Amino acid sequence: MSKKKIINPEQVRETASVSRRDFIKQGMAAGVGAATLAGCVTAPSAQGTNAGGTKWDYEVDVLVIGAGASGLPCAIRARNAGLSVLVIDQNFDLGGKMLHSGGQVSFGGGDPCQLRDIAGQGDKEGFVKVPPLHKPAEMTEDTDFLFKDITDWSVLDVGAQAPYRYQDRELHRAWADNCPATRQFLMDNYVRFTRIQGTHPGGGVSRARRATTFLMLGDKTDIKAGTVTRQDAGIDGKSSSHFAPRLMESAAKWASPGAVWNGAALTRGLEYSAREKGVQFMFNRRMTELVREQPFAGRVLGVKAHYTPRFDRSTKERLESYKQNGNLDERREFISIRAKRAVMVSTGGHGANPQFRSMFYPAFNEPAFVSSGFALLGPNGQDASGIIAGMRIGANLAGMQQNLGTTQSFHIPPRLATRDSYSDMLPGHPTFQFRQSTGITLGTSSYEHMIAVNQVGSRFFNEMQIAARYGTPVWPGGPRVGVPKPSMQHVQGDWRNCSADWVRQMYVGNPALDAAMAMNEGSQAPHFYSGPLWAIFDRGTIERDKWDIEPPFTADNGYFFSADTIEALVRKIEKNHEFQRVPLSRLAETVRKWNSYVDAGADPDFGRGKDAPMHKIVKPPFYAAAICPVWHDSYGGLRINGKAQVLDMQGTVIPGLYSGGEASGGGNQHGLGRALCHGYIAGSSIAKEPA
Amino acid sequence: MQLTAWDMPTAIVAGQRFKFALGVRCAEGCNLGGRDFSLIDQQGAVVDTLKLGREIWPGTEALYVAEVEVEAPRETGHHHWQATIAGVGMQLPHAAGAIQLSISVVGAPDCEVTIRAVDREQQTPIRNALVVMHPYRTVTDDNGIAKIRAARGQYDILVSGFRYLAASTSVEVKDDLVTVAELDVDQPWTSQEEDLA
Repeated sequence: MSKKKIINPEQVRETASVSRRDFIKQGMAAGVGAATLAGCVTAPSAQGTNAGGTKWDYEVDVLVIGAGASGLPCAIRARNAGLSVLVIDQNFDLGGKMLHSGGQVSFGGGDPCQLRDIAGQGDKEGFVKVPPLHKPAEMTEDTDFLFKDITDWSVLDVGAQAPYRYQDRELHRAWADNCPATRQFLMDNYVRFTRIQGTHPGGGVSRARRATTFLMLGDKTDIKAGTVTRQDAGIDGKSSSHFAPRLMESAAKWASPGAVWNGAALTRGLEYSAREKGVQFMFNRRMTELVREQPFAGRVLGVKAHYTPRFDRSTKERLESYKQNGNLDERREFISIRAKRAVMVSTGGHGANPQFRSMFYPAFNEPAFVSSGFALLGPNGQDASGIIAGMRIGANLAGMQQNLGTTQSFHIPPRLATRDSYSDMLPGHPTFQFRQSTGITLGTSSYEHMIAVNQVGSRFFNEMQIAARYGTPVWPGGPRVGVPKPSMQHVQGDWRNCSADWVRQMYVGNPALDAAMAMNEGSQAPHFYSGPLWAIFDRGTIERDKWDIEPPFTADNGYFFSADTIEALVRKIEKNHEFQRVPLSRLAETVRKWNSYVDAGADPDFGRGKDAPMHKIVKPPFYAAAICPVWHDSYGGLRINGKAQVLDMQGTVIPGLYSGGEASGGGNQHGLGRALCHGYIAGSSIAKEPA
Repeated sequence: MQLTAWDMPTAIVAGQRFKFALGVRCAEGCNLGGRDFSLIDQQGAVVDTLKLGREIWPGTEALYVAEVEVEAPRETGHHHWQATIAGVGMQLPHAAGAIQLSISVVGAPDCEVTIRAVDREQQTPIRNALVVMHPYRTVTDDNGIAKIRAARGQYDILVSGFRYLAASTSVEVKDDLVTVAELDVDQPWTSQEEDLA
């Protein structure tokens, strides 16, 4: 353990993590009472020790649960106000889903990136050299316009779902009003944005609002300088890194040559700033209970949390965070943490909790299918724990229906042979070992070279449609995404956007996922699991379409098999796949029937052969690669108001409790724009909380 | 015994010789090198008796393969043959194995159809594009051109290429004809690109 004294939070920079005991001892030796240390997590004061009847182990002004897209901005914002801030996270590193995201952030309302591009200017560091990608009019707006866009009742997508109709109004008024400030806040905290390019799903139809976070390739990884090495950014087809679990790809067309983008640029920038400012972190710590003065009344006082380390499978050593300055290394099984001003629940969503998510879609009680970032976040990620903890002390929920009708929540990613099918992580990041394979990434055209079967080996849909996802109604709009008039011609709030005639004209339903998740011959009481799905193909597929089936894209991990015959393939799957609960009894017959359809030139079962050539599956070896639906976005969670305060069933604020991002409900904007702004709002509100 | 057959031509001109591959594997991976198997026609007559290769086929665990060359029936249409292999005569008893083979026999071609596959945006040729004009199949050459000798009739033509979305068209073949298939590039998805949806 480090012997370095930690008294002033600014001295936290670039020091090793310390244990709590050493930390307190050093503070005392320095002649500063632990209870009076400004800006630091402390031992509880004599007054605070038994507040609420709980024996507290730590005391802090603001406790943030979850170091992701809403947690980190909240933490920094609260720290800016001079408050002591501790962030706990169930994982061994920060970032949550933000770390493996694309770093695409839609704000608007006249945010700084829009204004910069409208003026034709670059960024202050000179990284953004390409000219603006949109005309000024396409980015010109104010927060009133943004609010109207983001709550437009009339807009439908091509599945006839209304993505903006059910947005909580107060919440989105606050969101719109804070978008410009949040963008500036991020830019002030080491986050670099490219040119505005289009708008992210759920970000509105009428204007271009999305910019992507990036860094510049350089000789060293230096967040302050805005650079990252090629090694840390990842090497295409070869490796990822602890810095970035997914390859950072070229952002040349949005910034300049040498720019690379994804959520690592956002995450590591915010991390650098948080640590620099003295935010402290405690990893491997999962919140299990919110402590309130009374079960359903009074102030939230703090949390109880237990120790959730993750270990390297080979070395058995505990996994550690990328950076460690400012970490508190607490290893006791259970601890309690007092939050004098506020607790921020930013624990992410519920996509990994089959019990919770099956409230929305019963077929997703199937445990075989996980949330995105399964390997990265570990078994406690996306587990709805924050939402459930809030419910237990009387919090209301909101937006629970918004999971449905959007392709951003549950869908089938175009990636085979890995359970963690959302992302294409390569070896290098410490969590690659928990998925073992990158997966075989397919384009739309690749599906002509395979058939897809359910847990008994029967086909269930036209394979060309399996991973097809229709676009969502965002800028530039247009019929392709369900909006009658494109670009600047779109009319907000116009009944013609959702007329029955228009719906008939533009509707493109695709129930491939629903067919995949349907009950089948193998579904048995009481759970009626739909079971695993398999892509079946042969050597001919590899020869024609050049699929990458060698490691690291596949592995001997139960999600990819090869065999000399279909019968031998069946035996391998049944023996080695953890969720193959029933015999794959139909597969041989399905393949035989498929081959006969190819001979006949038509597929009477699912209509293949009109959209792309069909190919027989006959040339050994034969392959089976798992098709894994994923629950990516979570919509629906704790009900919050425009200050990110959590509300109870009576609509009353629960004092001292805040939430944002996917732990909260009432909105369904995909991705980072929602969560980051919530965090900004929460931190701003917390700063005004009475001491 | 488990059998599989591949590289079977999809449109075999009546009476002409054609080739395909046949593979056999014992479920327990027994050595089948040099064993006999038979081809039986739709009437039950033995067309030929051949031997499996002696070595395991590369890339497989225990598959033994034979290259087969036989003469097609003289009648057009779909013919259902069988390939069979006996289970007797081995150290351990084996069940016999069989597989149905679909032989698609067509009449002599009348016309030549030339298909040119190009990138729609760049207007550059696409080599090795798959061309299906059922029951005929081929691939384009280095110049993006495929030629199919076919009987007169109405056909749907499907063309797909590596990392290209398939294109389709319908033609009526009365004489030699040339058609162009313009294909759009298919973007392989990374999850970052999914975020762009």
